[in-house]
Amino acid sequence: MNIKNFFQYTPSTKYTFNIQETQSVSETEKLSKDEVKQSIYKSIDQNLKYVESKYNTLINSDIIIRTFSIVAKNKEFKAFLLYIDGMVDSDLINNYVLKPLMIKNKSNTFDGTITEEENPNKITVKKVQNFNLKDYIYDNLMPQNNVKQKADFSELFTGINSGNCGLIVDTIDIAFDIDVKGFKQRNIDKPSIENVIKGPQEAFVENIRTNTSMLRRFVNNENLIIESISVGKLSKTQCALCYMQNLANDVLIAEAKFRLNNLSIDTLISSGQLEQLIQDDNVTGIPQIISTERPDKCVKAIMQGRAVILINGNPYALIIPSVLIDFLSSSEDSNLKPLFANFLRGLRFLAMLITILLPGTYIAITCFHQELLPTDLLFSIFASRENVPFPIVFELLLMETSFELIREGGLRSPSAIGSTLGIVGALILGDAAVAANIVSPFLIIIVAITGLASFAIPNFSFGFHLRIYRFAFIALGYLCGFLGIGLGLFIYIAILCSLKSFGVSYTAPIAPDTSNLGIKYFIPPFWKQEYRNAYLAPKKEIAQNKISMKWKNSGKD
Amino acid sequence: MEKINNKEAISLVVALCTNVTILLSSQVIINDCSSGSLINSCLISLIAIALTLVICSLYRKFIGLNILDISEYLGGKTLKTIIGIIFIIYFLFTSSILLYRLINCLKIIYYPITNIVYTVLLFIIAVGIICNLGNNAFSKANYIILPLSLLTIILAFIGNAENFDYENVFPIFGNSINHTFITGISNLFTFGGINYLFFLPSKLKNPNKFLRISVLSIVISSIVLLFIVTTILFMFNANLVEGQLFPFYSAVRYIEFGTFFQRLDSAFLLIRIISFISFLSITSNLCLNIFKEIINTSDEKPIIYPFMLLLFSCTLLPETIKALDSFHLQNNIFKFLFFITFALGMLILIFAKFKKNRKESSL
Amino acid sequence: MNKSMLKVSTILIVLFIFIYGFSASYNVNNIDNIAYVTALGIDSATDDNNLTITFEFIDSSAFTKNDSSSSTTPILDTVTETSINSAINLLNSYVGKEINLSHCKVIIFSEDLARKGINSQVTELMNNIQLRPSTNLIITKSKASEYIKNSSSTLEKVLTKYYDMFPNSSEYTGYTSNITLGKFYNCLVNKYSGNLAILGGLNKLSSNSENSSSNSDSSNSSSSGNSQSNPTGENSESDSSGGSSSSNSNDSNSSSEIKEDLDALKKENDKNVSAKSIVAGKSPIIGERGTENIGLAVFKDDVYINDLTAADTLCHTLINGEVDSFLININNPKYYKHYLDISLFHNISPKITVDTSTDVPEINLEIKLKGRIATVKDNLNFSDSRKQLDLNQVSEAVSRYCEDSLKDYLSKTTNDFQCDIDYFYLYAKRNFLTNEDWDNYDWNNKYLNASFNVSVNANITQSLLNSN
Repeated sequence: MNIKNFFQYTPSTKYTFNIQETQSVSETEKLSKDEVKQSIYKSIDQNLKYVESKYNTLINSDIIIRTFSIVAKNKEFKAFLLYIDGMVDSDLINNYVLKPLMIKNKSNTFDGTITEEENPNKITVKKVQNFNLKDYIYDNLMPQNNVKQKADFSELFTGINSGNCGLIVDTIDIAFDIDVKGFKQRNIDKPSIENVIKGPQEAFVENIRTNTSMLRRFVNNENLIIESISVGKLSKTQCALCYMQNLANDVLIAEAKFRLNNLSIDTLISSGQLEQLIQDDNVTGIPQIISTERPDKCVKAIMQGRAVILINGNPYALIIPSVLIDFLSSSEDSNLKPLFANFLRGLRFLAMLITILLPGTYIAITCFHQELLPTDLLFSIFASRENVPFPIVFELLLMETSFELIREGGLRSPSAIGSTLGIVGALILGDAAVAANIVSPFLIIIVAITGLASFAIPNFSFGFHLRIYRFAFIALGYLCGFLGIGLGLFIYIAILCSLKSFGVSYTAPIAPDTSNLGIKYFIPPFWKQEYRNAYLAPKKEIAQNKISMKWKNSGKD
Repeated sequence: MEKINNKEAISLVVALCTNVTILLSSQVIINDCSSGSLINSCLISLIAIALTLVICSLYRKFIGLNILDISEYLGGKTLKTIIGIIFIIYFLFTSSILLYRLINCLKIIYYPITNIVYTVLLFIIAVGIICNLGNNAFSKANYIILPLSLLTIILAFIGNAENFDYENVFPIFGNSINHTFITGISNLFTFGGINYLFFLPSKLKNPNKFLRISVLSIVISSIVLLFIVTTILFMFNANLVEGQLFPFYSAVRYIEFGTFFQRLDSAFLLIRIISFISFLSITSNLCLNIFKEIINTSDEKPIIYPFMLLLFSCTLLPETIKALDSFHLQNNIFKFLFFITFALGMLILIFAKFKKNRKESSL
Repeated sequence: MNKSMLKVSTILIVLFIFIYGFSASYNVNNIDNIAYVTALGIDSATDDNNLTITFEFIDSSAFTKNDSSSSTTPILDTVTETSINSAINLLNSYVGKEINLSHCKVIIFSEDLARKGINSQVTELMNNIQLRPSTNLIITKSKASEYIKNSSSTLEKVLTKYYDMFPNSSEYTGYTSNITLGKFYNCLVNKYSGNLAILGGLNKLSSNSENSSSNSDSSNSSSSGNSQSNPTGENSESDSSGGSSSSNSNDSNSSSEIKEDLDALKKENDKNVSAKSIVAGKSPIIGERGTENIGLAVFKDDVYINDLTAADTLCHTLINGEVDSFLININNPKYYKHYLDISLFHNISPKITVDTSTDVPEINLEIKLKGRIATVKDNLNFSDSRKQLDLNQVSEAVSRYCEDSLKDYLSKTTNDFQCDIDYFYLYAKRNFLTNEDWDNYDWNNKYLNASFNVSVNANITQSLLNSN
């Protein structure tokens, strides 16, 4: 490419994709009742069809339907087993469900006529005369301790979603709910990055099946679709797109599938790579997809109408779409009382402002607008700087750089040394630097507060971009004071506003302020969270009834 | 192109009006009417609301169309081009006048030695970047920034309240009845954003709400106008205001919240800078859009930098031609441009309505 | 060469252009290159056209020391130049740092200069970007340089804190007022009102020691100083004409009493000194700090003409609603037979109306006060139900006392000062529709004949902790 091309006009090839927000809640949705219960059909074909449509077995990768024939009293009955891969113990199913049902043995070749059999004790055993398949299977063919008979599908699905296995046999309108739970629980560890005080202490593991089973157990609804997509021409890494069929916007899911299926790469190893490959904008460095290790966070997102992408071999799930406020909220928030949660959210917003603006503002004030400082404070800064040989900007950059070094050094060193390193770095270096008159104590405070604030950002990569942008603001503040800070701030806000995450405005629901429904930055009490966020354009906007605490009204009726 | 929703549309018009008011017209109003400024502001607010209602009623026949579409309907491509260029000139010159005034203040206050060119260039580059962003970033960012900007105006009002001389509104009719009620109507240019209404319908997500949006935005702007004019009027003697560089800034210099929060004026200027860059990006974006529609292209990227160069040179005009560097001349140019464009817009709407009515009746 | 490199280099070039462009301003404003002035004193130099300007800097090294006992000692530099800006300019070369006025708390003009008119100086200061309009303006009876030299922080470690705090005392004493540069300038531009500034002066103690050291400097007014001290003592108990006469005698341009030594001073303090005669420089205060700010200086246009004593200032602040609570003492049998200290506060802000229908403006002033008895010298028991009437009498006495004081004060403004320092013109403006009518009314002359109707309604309750 030569210099001529620099000025050449190249037409804009920006890829745009938008999700049209729902403007208002449809009336029909408001009136929709609880789903009707469907009892189990007698015909197995009908049952099969129903189950297939309910579980979307064509696209759901971990739903397994095993069709086979049962031989009972020399008659063959069609039957199928329904279970979710990853949540059941295969050995149990093989040995104690399929084996007794399928292998022809003495008892099930029995034709049903009355016979008297002599046994050594000379006791006559009367065999059951009228043949009842339901009882027969239950009594004779189920060597299981925990088998329940279910009459309708919703009850059966509840069991299956929690790791049981369903058996449906032709000609009977009863399904068997067999307990074969066998998910791997011991491998699941505590979250290492996103710690919470209250709330579940589980984190994703490397195995995708284990992860999907965790989602299944949390969601516990057959509408959860876990679609398998393989990415990478060589590695064929298995990815799973998880969403609620009846909540997530179809356009969003289609777009996600479209992007995942159109990745022309050889190998995919980590979720970070996938994040780069599918996010809308990679220039600004602002994360537009949340990557989390917490299943409960994913489930919350799924239940809002978002989609989650799991990658085999990686304990981090990607939540799409993610907007600005998601990066500032922690999964702790929903477990706390709204007052505390909102206090924390306010604090985090402050932390964001401090991280990005404080050093730049300090430079701007000390270099251009010292009159803004109260006189006493000014003289304190003035006095503390008296013996420092460096200009302020150099002093600040020196400390910021060494702070980043301490952070990186502490992170990369073995954990036993890491904490010591932090203490040595922060305390001793800072103290020595002040004592040697290399930096002023006031500046140490500024850098320390900035550092603390950057740790308070719940999302790591979001905090990272703030740390980078902070240097731009230092440069702008140094250049021309508040003028630079102001221009920089507006450009930063405009950049945030211009971003889109899977067709959703990054600053939603604040900047395209479409609907009053749903949650803004500060969360209302749980019973008031009646609507899903409009910017996600979910299929169902109402998340709970207007009066969710029915017990309060029960006295009036 | 992505459409904007109601609240963003309101904030766009309010931002346009507020910046004109704070940087230029509040001073003009107080110079003209001295103690009658409040009455005058109320009067022009009422007139502005009435005119808005007229525009809306005229637009009822042309839902979702902007003035360019309508002028094309009325007089073909030529008229569209002429109208477009006139509006570009209006927005270009008004923003460059305001930019020059703001930068002059900044120069005197903070950058006494720095050449004004660098400061202007900084603004121009920032606007260029924002115009490049797309996705209606400027409108969303303005929606986020505007409450902050309005808050500082209200804070300035509250913070100065203890210094107010409420009796400054008397004599109630100001210099003379003529000044306040007749020649004072020319102060209507404080609602510079009213010209934006001609272009708003085609940008709206729900063009049906046009009436509500425009009336609300003008009402909010007039409340802001009242706040600004009251603050300045109650703070200073009217004959003091005439000689001031930036009266609202001078008023902010008096604010003290206790002994700790003193000298907040640079923080105030920070917000004003942010708010003004938002103003600049709105007008630049509009000019680019008009230009885009005139020459029928789909991509505005290549014309951004030439346009920025134009804005840059317009802003520096008073620096080279010293005759232009006068407050009165600048505000007269502003007034003249405002009334020309506004009258043209109204005329086109009225004629287009006649044409449409005739067509409908002939059918 | 690829496109991204071109982009990066463009950004770098732009950055360097801006760094070059703004570096000059950066160097001007950088905190390291600035010396902060905390107080500015302006005297007229011996040469008529020149000014002697005293700059007070704070020694910032005191902020790093941890011992709280040592208070900061200001550093003083004095320059004689034609204007303030040229003085700053000259001093810049001496100090080696850029002098910045953004943290200047007080501006002190000497009486001599103020009598010549300070219009040009105040305008110059108001046009200074760094200087805040909220800076306090003090007219000192002594030389401004002496005032600055003698002001030291006694209760605070830092002098600037004292400068921040002292105008606040006006809210609960009413003996001075928080007059700022901006307020002064507003009144200066306005042609209808007189103008006021804080009156400052040296304590007797410091003025004595100062004068003994530099006797030759101020020997011109020794006789007037003596003659002045007598009426102060004598007239203290009579009505306010004494106060005005004492302030009239100030015209002879005496800075302070001179020959009295410390004993005489104490003797004088033993006499009954009332607020009516107290002005800065003549108060019965003996303290560590050598300066005091009591009373106000009255300006007509930009020329200092007279003083308001503490009691006059109280009247002024009472009319303007500036004072929140204050103390008066009634020690005159004309009003009440016992000595009383009454602590008063505003019930509602004063109601002022001006009738301009005739050529003689009629100014109606209605003040409602609430109060409580603070001191009773004769140990009366007010809680006694039979003496309940007494409280009403007290209220009546207080009302009449206030009315009389206000009337005296107001007549002083029309007769002695001949300008509207209480901003009655603001209320008079109400009656006019346009500025033209108002200009034609000629307020400045009409005010001199104005008649005042003062009504004070005080409601006194008894609230002593120990009524017996």
